Amino acid sequence: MKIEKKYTLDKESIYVDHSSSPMNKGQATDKIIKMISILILIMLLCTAVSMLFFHIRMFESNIVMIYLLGILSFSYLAEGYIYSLAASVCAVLLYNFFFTEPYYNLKVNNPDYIITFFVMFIVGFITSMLTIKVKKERQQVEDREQYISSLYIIGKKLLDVKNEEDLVRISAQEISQRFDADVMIQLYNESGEIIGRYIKGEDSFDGELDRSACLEVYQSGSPCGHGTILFGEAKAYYQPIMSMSGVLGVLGIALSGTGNILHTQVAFIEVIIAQIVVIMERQKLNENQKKVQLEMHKERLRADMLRSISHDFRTPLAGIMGLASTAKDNYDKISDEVRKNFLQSIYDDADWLNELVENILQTTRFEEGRTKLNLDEEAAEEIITAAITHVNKHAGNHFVYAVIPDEIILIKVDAILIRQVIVNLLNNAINYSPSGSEIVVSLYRDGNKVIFEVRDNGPGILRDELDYVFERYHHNRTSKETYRKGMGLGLSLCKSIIEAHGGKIAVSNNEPHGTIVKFYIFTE
Amino acid sequence: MEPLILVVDDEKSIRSFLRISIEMQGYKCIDASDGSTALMLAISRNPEILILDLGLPDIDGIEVIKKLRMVSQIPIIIISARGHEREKIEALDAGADDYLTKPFSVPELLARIRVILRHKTLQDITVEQESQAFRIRDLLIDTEKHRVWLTDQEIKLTPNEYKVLVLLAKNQGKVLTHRYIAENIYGGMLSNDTQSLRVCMGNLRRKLGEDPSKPQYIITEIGVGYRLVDE
Repeated sequence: MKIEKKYTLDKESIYVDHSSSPMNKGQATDKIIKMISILILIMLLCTAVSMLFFHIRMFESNIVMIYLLGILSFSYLAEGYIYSLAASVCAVLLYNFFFTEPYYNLKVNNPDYIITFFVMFIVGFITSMLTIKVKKERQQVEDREQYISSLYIIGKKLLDVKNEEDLVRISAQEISQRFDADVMIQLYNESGEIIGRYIKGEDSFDGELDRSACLEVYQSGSPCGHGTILFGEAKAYYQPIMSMSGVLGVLGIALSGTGNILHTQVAFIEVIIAQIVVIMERQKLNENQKKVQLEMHKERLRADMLRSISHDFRTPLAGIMGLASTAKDNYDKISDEVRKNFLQSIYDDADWLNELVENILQTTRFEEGRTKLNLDEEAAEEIITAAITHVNKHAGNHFVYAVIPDEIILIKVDAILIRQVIVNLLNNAINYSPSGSEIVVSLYRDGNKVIFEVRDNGPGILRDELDYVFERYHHNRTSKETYRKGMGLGLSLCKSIIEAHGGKIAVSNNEPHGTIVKFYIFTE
Repeated sequence: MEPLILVVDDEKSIRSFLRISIEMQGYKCIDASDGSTALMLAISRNPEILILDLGLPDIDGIEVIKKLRMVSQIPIIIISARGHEREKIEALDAGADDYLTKPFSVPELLARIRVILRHKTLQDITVEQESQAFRIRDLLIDTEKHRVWLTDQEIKLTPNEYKVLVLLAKNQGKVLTHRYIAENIYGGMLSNDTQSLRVCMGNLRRKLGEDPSKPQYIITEIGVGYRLVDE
């Protein structure tokens, strides 16, 4: 109720855009002159019609009615009590002058006419006032409707915002459009950094005074600037964007012209600010929720990782311990040949552990976000060669080839990490395919993609498993024998590395059997 | 007299197996577990080769190299953990001759030691006259005529490719960092132009008919530099 009353009271200043900017003197004089000419025109018309009626000896009261009609129509056009008063007086005088005896004179013979004049004046004046009131009320209703619908439109637009930039841009544009003013909105985060900013009309906010006013609003949480006690000389008026937890931002508005901001305009801005606050709080809530979810996800991954690492470590460790203790306890009973085999197996297991540790180290670095890509312009073929040389030491009876194009392809990558990817893929291929298998690494360009491909002719991966191989701690279950060589960590690390380079990695089956892992990286 | 080799590593087990492996090859071996002892031994005993782990408890390995280089030209093989490429490059630029990544294979280390020792003897003999030709497997480089043959077939190299090849040949078996090569080929100005060096090396490899899965001549040390194969 209260609010509605406030709007009604201040209606003239807020509902219509043109009325928010005060009219200047020239315009006022123009209006008066225009109205006086209209008044003269209407009165002339009324007199002319009355003359006609008079000559055909029509009923005299009709003439009074014609004048009343004149007063009414003029009041409707002029919208002002002074104007309707003037029209009433004019009409009475004209009626007196032309149509009462003695004619063409303001004297009155019959005293009854005094009553007629008086009633005519009163009726004219009151009906015209009522007309004006009705018209104004209708205008009010229309304006309020427009006001509500514009709030609704802004609210709807703000519902769709995705980020702080959108939020400030849309609100500022709407306010600016509504008041024909320059608007600035600035949002801050908890540590006082600006997270969103939109300025329409840079000049209105760039003075030293304006900057101080803006800062003052942010620090104190109360409005100041143009038209207020504090920083009254500033070009714009500043209003804080407040939530329960404190100041979230500052809204500045500089009206065109020199007028001060009106109370109702502030009220309108406050409604919009309330919406901004709701949206910001909503976003903050969303973010917090996401953070919690991410944290939970990380926690689960960490637990999975520990489980998987323990498993992956235990198998080669069990091998090393078993072989070493057997060799030690039965040193004299076993032949040199067997001892040599034992030592070789211990070496292989240790080598495997080493590879594992490397992957774990890289993975944890990636997860903690500590890995900064050490990008450099590298020849793709050199990375392949380095990877193959690395795995060749324990490739056994697998044949590893490389197919590279004539063109020297340069890519901007972290060479050590990409080599790690290829090493992991090659190790996988070696572990999961029988001795004597062929493994081919090829390199080619497709448009702006540089494609690396590791292809083996081993048993391949079960169709159901294809989708999950990049998941952390996934183990290929093609056969029990190779189970111990779990490379879940290795493949998921490959995926992280390639994605960090903006590329993609995918696995598919080779024909007639075997696995193809492909990844690409964009050239610039 | 057998060459003396100084092993510096703070890990006892590594020192012990290195000592055994080295002595089995017929060299003499002394060891140290920290940087200051290493510096002292390197100067007082004047060993033929220093094998240096970069992660030492007292002095940073790179500091050891820098200090040593002020007084001695003793060949240094560094041992560093995997993933510390910057450290490797820094050590090589500070004057180390070669590097191995932990965990390394002993045969690999012994091979590097042999390369260094052989170069040392060669240097001692031909200290006055610059070598006229290099022969590596089927590759023959004639530095006087500026011509290169591969299995008796002459191959045409651009001036830069030739310069790189000769630079690598003069330091056969030794890793040369990208920066070192670029500085020597393009001069100081363009020393960070790694792109043209990569292309130059790619072309050189193609002309030498290298198999990308088993290079015969040029070994790429990814992230560090290049080396010409030895023995």
